[in-house]
Amino acid sequence: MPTPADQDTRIFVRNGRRHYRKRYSLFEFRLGLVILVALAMTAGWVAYKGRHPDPSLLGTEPALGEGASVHPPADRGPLPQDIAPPGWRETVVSSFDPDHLYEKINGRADYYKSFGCERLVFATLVQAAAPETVIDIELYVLPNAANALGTYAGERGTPSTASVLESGIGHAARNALYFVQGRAYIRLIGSEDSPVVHEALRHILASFQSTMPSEPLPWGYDLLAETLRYDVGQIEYQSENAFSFDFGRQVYAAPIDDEGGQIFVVASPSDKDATNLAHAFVAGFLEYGTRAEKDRPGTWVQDRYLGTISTAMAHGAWVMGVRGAKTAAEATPRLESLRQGLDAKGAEFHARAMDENAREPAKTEE
Amino acid sequence: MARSGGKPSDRKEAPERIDRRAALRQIGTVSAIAAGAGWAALAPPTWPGSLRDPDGERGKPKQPVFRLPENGFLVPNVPGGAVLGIARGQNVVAMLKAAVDAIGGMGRFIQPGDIVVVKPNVAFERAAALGATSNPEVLKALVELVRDAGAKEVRVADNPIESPESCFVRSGIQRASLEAGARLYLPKKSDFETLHIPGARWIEHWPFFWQPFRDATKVIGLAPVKDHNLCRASMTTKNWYGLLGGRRNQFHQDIHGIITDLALMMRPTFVVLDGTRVLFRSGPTGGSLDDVRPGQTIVAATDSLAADAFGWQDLLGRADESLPAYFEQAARKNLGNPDWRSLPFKEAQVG
Amino acid sequence: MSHEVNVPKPSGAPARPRAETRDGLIRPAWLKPNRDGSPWYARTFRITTTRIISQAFFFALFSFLLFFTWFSRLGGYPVSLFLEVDPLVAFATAISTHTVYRWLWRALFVLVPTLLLGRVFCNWMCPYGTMHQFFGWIFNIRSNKGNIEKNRYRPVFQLKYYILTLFLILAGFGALQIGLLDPICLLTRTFVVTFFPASDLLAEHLRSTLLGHGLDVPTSFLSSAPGAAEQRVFAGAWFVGLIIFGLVGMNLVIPRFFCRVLCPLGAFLGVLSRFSLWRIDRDVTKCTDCDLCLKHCEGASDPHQALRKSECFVCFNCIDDCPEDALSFRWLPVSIKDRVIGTVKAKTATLFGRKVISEHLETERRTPDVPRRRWLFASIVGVLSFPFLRLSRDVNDRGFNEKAIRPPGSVAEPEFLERCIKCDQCINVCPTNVLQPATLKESGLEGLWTPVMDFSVGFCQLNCTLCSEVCPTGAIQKISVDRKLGMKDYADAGPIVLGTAFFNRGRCLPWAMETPCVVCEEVCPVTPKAIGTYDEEHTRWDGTTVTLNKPYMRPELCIGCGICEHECPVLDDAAVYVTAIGESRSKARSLLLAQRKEPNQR
Repeated sequence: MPTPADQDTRIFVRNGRRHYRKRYSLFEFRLGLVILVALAMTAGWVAYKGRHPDPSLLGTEPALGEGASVHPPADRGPLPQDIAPPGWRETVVSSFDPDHLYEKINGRADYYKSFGCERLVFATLVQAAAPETVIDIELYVLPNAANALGTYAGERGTPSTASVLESGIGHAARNALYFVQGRAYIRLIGSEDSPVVHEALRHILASFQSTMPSEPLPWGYDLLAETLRYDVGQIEYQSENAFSFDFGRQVYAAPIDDEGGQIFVVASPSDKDATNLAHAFVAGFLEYGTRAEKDRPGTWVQDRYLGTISTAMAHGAWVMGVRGAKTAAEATPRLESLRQGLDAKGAEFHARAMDENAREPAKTEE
Repeated sequence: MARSGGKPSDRKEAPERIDRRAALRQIGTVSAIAAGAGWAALAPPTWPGSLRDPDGERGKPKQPVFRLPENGFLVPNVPGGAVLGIARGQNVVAMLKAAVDAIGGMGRFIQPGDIVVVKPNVAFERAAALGATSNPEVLKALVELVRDAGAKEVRVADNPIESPESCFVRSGIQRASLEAGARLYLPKKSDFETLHIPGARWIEHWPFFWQPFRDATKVIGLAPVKDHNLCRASMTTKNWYGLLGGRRNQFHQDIHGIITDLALMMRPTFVVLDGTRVLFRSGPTGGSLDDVRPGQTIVAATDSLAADAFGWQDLLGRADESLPAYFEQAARKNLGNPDWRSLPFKEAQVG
Repeated sequence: MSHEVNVPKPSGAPARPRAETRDGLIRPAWLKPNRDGSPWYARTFRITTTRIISQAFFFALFSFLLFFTWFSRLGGYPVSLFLEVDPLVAFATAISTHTVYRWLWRALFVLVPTLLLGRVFCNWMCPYGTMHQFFGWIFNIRSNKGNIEKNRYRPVFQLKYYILTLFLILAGFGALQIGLLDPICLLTRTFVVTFFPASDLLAEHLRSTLLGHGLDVPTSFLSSAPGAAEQRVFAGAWFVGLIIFGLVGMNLVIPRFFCRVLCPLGAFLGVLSRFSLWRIDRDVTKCTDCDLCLKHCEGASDPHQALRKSECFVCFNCIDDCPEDALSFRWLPVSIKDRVIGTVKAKTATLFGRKVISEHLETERRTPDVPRRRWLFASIVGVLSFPFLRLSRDVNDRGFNEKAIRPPGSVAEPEFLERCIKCDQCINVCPTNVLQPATLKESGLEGLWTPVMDFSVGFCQLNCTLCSEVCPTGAIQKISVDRKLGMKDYADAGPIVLGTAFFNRGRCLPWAMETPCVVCEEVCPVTPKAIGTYDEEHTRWDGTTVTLNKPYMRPELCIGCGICEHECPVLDDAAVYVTAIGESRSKARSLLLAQRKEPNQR
């Protein structure tokens, strides 16, 4: 029997569950089991909820800031609005004028500027399902179709014929697509060589073709490709400094062999100008070579280092010539067909050429 | 001391005083307490049990001071080896491997048994795509590469500006680290110790995120390329900011001096400049995909200044601007060479 | 004073001796069959045992949910579950807002059992009641007699009904004050503001001690805020702590003091339980008026005479303590008074032919023991309290406190005060510790313990909407990150603005002290940054030249997140500071004439 003193000295309650009832019931026990089951279900529900969080709340890809920016949107130029194929997302669009071209393509900027590149619009598309897969779009806006084609041809090299696009002015590489549309030269570069990327590249190409106006072929391409059946993708156009001659402006050239031999054609205002320009070319060739093939008509020059043959001659108000051919014999029939082609086109074609040439914008000096 | 209580009838028989034994015990207790108190308060400080502190110095908290190894975590130079390895491409794993291979391969830096600290930049609570933090894919590839080289443990540590857990989760660094088998170190107050940095101008003694560096043998910095409002660019050198604690918001009063101190503080085994994304404006926080462009480049370097200079010129595209002042300050202290083109470097195009 | 009471000897022997059983095996006493022949588990797992398990379960669940109210633990846990099932929260917010927000319908899980069984919540589920019961029990040093006397009903128990009346009338006016004393709100707040920081402190102390011994053992599982770089601090924690000490301590004076005297939820459930279909019933033909049933009576509901239904916690202790087995829990028991034949005085009373032993024939008292005039008195106090509270300056649009900066997603202040129950779950989940319980300073008594932002402690993290997720009543409406930042579908609405930052040029290092700084610009999270700089070369007093980037605000861009103030090196009184003006939740508190221009979209 605890005494009052014991009551005071104890710290915690003892026999805390002492009770006096005499009867117990199994019903209470069973009810207890039911309640325990209910508690367990509550715990299960809480655990279930806990394992199914709201994905937006704690995601590792929170707000990417789309639309959050009040930076003025980059000037898209001619880049179509909905260029991203289904399943792809456009992320960055940036735009570079000629003075800032180097920021994006350091080292290659001068090449594009030599064609009078007006703007580079750069965009990146990201595959929504696999954000590490991207396609970069580089869209170079050039003054006219001739420069766009020239830019393309200059970068193209010789792709396998199978990869050349139907239009002839574009080709596919493993994970990339290069083509000309209107007065734009467009490079699409995928991050991987996979069917998904190929599919997207084709889709983007189709978007460009359906949304951007195509332009008629410039006269030089018309002549060399349409009439004379040279490969349109390989016809070079140099709006200035052709063959490193400062007088070499608006020169169209097509390859006649695999080692850099080309025939070329320039439109001059008059017969006299044409004669003078032809002389200038020959004089220019002579700086690196000596007269050769003296028994043939015209003035032929053999390069003293490479041994290749070049010539230039006036044909009416046209200047035509060959540069870097292996032999004069090989070059002569090409020149002859070019002459016939020009003759067939007639005076009207010359007028058109002069008109197109006149519209070539003036280049600012470097 | 009269006794109280008891019935009146008891009082007659009670003695006048308490008995001798009880008295002695009580007097003894009083004396012992008094003597103990006197000893503790008055005995000279060097004596055992003394609490005496005559001038207040003894009572001040003692901060143990820690130091990083004398020569940092550098590995010996290989004659003729490249200082800078630049890899361009799309495939993160291939690029990283190519960049590290260019400077001698992971085997040159990591030996079996090493404990390696990897320091990414997790400063802000941002999605990785926003470019304000290190790319988790690069981190994952790096940790795996380090582990493949035989490292015993890889520790990923940073002291973010915003709340650490959120930063590590939202940036994807937490998942990448754990998937790659690294150990994460989120800063807790007890993880910081005072670091002594001999020769530092401002942070000679400063709270340092010490815990991950306990027993560490190698350190790799992994920094994104970011525009920065004050120091103009935040790359591998500025990245060490995230190892400090304390009042970091005072650093901005001489940010270039501080970054120079950071370069002095940490001589890493090597650094990786993660140019897969370039935050080219609104740095260092960013916040919009419009502020980011793909850089498609990863650089590994044993000279952080060289890597940063490359990042400034090539990735941020600011070759026509002069380098931020900390490059020159750090170079003057022989902490690196910003003229990266004068150093042996290798460039590779992969995947 | 004699301790002799009319007590029969207890049936269970205190020392639990081993006893021999019929089959001759020696078993511990708790496995011994009962005297009435029922198996041991009918005793060991009698209903009060189940009740204790239930109480432990709900207390553990409550603690678990609050402990998991944290970024890395949250997952999908219904962390505000107890607040959502609290019928007083649902009822009072329904009065103040005329709506039932989001998950508050879950209050039915308590409401319906109360209507069936009485105040079972109080002694089966309520974690606060469990806490009081536990402390009252374990520190109880009273004798049987003392316990019985302490558990008799007292008139002071009426107080809770006055409190309930006051709160409900205030709620009708739009001043929701139940959170001051609602046990779930009160305990949640106590956990958040006092217990949790203490557990963090313990975890951190343990870790540094172990590190001192070279043991790198993670202790963050003990911490309520693992991964937080700094020890969390809370405004007025001392006061909340003082209250919990006071209320728990009162159990030594009056057992279950809070539950019996103050609890407005208990009062609400007490009013409802007048309808309950089950109640404790006393068999007057068995009851000897020994009063032992009062010994452990939690509610002081007088089971020994007329049971006060509104006070009974349905703890079933009286059934345990009745040596005559006169008490039982019964479905719609009849009122026996009219059926008794004969009189008690003459000792001739019989009920259904059995002799009535008890002298008290009343077995039930349905309604709370509150005179009508006092209901009226409480109502008048409530009506008058509203102007006293609301006309305090700080909660009005005129003269509102500049530091009453509400979390993102908060509704405008008058609606906020209709909804906020001061539970402080938002403060619990806040990863940067920026959310603080308001003291009297920010929004007077009416807004006491409501969440406000203190940027000297933390800042509102950009991609975080956790507070809006855990708010049970919609004072902070559930928002997405897109909504918070004004992205995608919400681009036209613009981001949620909490306030506006200002520069105190007199304290700013570049402006006033020729010292470079601009931490504020660096950390500004919006793009383009809301802080710009005027950059100038400056010749200092000592002749050296420095570049000073003198910051300025672009108010259209500022979202009031306060990270600039938090990171400003002028710690004590930051040179850039956010005040509530310009908050987007209230047109009346806007700053700029021009509403935010529609952001340029791609």
